[in-house]
Amino acid sequence: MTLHSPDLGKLIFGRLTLDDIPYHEPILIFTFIGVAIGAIAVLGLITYYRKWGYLWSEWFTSVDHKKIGIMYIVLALIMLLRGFADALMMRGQQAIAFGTHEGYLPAHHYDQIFTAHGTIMIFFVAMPFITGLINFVMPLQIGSRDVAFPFLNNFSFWMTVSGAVLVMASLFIGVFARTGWLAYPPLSELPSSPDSGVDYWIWGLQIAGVGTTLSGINMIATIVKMRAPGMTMMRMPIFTWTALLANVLIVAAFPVLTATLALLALDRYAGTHFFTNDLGGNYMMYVNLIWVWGHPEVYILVLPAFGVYSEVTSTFSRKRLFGYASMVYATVVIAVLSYLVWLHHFFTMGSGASVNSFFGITTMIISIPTGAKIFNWMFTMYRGRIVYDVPMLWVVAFIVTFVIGGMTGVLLAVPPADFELHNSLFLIAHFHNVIIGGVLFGMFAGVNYWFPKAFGFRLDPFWGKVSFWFWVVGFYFAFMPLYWLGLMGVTRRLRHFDDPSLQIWFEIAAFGAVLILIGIAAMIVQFAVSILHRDKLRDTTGDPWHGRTLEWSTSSPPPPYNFAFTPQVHDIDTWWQMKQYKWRRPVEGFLPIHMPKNTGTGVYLAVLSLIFGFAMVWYMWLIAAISFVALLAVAIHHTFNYDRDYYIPADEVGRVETARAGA
Amino acid sequence: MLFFAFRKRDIHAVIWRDFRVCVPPNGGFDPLSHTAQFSAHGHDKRVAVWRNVAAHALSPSNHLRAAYRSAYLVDTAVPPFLSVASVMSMKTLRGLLLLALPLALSGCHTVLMSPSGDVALQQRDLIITSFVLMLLIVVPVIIATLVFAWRYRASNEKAHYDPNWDHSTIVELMIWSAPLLIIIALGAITWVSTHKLDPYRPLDRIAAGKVVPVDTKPLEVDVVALDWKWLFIYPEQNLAVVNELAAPVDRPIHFNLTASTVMNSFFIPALAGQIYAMPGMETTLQAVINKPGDYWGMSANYSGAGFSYMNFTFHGMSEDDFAKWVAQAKSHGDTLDQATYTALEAPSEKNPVQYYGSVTPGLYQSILNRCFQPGPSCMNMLRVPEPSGGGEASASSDSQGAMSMAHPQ
Repeated sequence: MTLHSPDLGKLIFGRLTLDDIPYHEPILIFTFIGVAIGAIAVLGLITYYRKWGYLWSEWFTSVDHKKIGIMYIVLALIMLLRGFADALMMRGQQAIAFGTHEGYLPAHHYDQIFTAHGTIMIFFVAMPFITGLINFVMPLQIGSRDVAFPFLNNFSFWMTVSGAVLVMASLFIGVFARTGWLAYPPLSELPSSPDSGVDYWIWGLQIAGVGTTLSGINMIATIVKMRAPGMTMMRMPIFTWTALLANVLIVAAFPVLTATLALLALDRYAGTHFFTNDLGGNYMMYVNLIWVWGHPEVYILVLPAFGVYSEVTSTFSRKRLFGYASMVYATVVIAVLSYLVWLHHFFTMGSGASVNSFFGITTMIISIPTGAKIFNWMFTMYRGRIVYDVPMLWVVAFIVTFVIGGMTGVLLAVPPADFELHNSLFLIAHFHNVIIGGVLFGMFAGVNYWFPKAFGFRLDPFWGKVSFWFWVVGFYFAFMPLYWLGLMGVTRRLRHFDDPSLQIWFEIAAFGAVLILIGIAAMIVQFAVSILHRDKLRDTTGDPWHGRTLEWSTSSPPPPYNFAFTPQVHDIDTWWQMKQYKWRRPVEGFLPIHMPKNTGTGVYLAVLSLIFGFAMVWYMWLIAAISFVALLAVAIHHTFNYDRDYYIPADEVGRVETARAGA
Repeated sequence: MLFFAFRKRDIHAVIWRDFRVCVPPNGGFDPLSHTAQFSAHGHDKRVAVWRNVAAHALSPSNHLRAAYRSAYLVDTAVPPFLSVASVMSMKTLRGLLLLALPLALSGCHTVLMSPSGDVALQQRDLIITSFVLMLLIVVPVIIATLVFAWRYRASNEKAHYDPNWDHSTIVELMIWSAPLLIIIALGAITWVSTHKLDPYRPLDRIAAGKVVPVDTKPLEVDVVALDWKWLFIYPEQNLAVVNELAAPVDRPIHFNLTASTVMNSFFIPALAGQIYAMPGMETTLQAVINKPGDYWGMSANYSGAGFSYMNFTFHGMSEDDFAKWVAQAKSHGDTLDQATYTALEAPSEKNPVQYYGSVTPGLYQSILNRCFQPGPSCMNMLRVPEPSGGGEASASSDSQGAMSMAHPQ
């Protein structure tokens, strides 16, 4: 379009003008100042302590699955702060905007906030969390030295970061989408959303989606091909099983998302009519497609969390996992069924009764294997010796909370009941109930559980417990009132209410959000205190919880090569069995270990993708074209990089192993 | 604080009213239930109900007995080695069930739990039935989890420790079949109720035990969701109203719905469940209001900046009052024609109620077929190839070219 115009400014800057910088919105200005000060402080400190080289060569360019896993989780925690800030603002607005009081957020801002909250919490908190945990834990659990494609792993991570940065950029340059987190057309089409918001959403998710899909392929290949000898499928740790199925779901579901977003992008950029109102467009197709991805996505998130609960329950109950086979089959059934339920997200779109009841009943059927899993955790605790370290506390809170969320979910699966409850705050309460109570609790359990493996010292249990109680109690205060409000007929995404009798419930919910804020603060304190007291919390055994699976057999933090000798697997709880047979860490007979070399290509590609995405959002066609060509060039150039591996000499392996064995 | 106020003399009345409203013995409608949508005194009564669960034990109803019995059945099905669960929980379980029921039922004061239309009422009953059915398994699970978690704590040396116990066929059978049984029951209820309460299906009853008289014609209302207000067209009465809706009690209402630009959802919680209103598309909702009153309606699907104000009042009226309301509305001389509609369609917020005494014939069809939108022509003028089969989103090339939500029954 701009090519017709000789205007150079337009050619370079596209539709971006100074007016797109929200300098007239005080909230954003203060946020920007806060972020800027924080960023300058962090960058300054890194520079002062001369850590740039260390960060670049040891972390950013690392192809080590453990470091990539840790970086994913750092990303998730940072984005959790952003997503939670959005949540606090929404709770604040809804607690005060009654009657003549309009609250402090105009629709223009409020609608961006709830869209950003959903998008960020799912794509840039929950997803990096599970990908991070899988990255860190799974290769260790299967006795492998790394994932199947170490460079791809690094590239996937940086693409996720790139997507997150693009979404964050919308805070200070232009606007974010005001459509809800799934951007249903026709609202997300050009006539209703002409500004940069939906484009930020599309490109942010597309770029991150590349990372997610590739990471899914990588993990599947790793689990299928790189298990230690003796580890048959039915001897895989449950977390690895859930990781496998979650990644199968990723590989099957994310291409649907990519295609759907591409079609929406074509509508917005090329004037096609896939989802428009007119000229044969059908936005109902979008709603179907996005949920064909969206429902499996829920299970992509929750299955690995289920895996964490299984590992934690069995470890802290000092007992074998009850019903291992039953667990595996339940997980497989859930994964398959997750593709047969998408329509339950829009029973109210006018499908016939037979279609609606089919999808309602398939949804309910999912609760059978899920229920079986819950019982399995219960019976794992039964006749155990349960030690209540922080991870186990999360498990108990999870079971109680998740059962409630599951129940309301089945209730929503009854189509006539859903006609009353759809889009209501009851629905909001339900999915926060399962995503916080199911996914997030699991991630917190996982972080507390595997932290000593990653860093060689435990997290401070006192602050962990403070955080736990504030989170759990805060959760109930924040979301139980929403169930109630849903029964009062209150729907989601409202920024103002007329009826004053609702206010008390929103105030209780806001109070709950404040408790969760304290929970998050306690978590940050927990990290800080643990780092300060790391010598006191040090674990020299590599097995601080009396673990059962292979990751606990190596030292903490594990050496870059994970295992000096590939372990032999004879049981599900391999490490437990090795301990029964008084296994000793070998101190001789080491061989050189073949390792992949670090590379910066992942970072370069992600930066170029970020530039490309930003240019596309703002119609900067010239920059978009250049960055796209550069992207291809760098990718092709990387295929000619033959300097990609090295050997750790046997005597160095010996030195490392002896030091760790003696520690 | 109002929330914690506690008025003893209300307790018994409240409990009984709650039971009668929420679990009507014959599924019928209780005329004693209140019409207030937002009960100002609701909070303290709820607390009263909640705190006095014990009172329920003394005033058993058939439903409670049934609940006891099922709980007991589930409980006795537990194998003996689960002695902890069964021994501890016989009493606790009953207690908890008693606790949970009123908690659920105390929702009676909310609009969803005390609706005024027969469809919403049946949906309410369905919510309660499903909820109670699931509590049968959820409550024991929560209790057993907490009991196991406490009993098998490491410091309790007396508890049996069996580190290698990881399989039991009977337990496995039970943990798969217990949820399965519940879901079979719920699935059957779902299949039947989804067909019975299909928003497209013409009503066969006005209320429990009251069939629709044969000569009754439903009131036709064409609904258009605009940015950001509601337009209601009454074709029989030749009347159009913005942001206000009225209907006579006990007469079935047949809504046809569409929208001008984006998806909305038409929802009057007291009347019936919601249905999407979508541009170039027609959906249908059948409902009936049983009690006179002013109810609150809204859009339940986010549709842009003015979404929060897309509210309207729905009046349930006697036949006479409805006739008066129509006459008064028609006394406004304005006509809703293409020009006034195009002006009305422009985005606006917080629109006041507005009456149009007459409507250009065929206006709704033109809106539905998007004749007023910039573009080539009306959708019904386009030759749309018709895919076979019914279900959602089947494009039809009948007299209305817009995609009517064809229905496979």
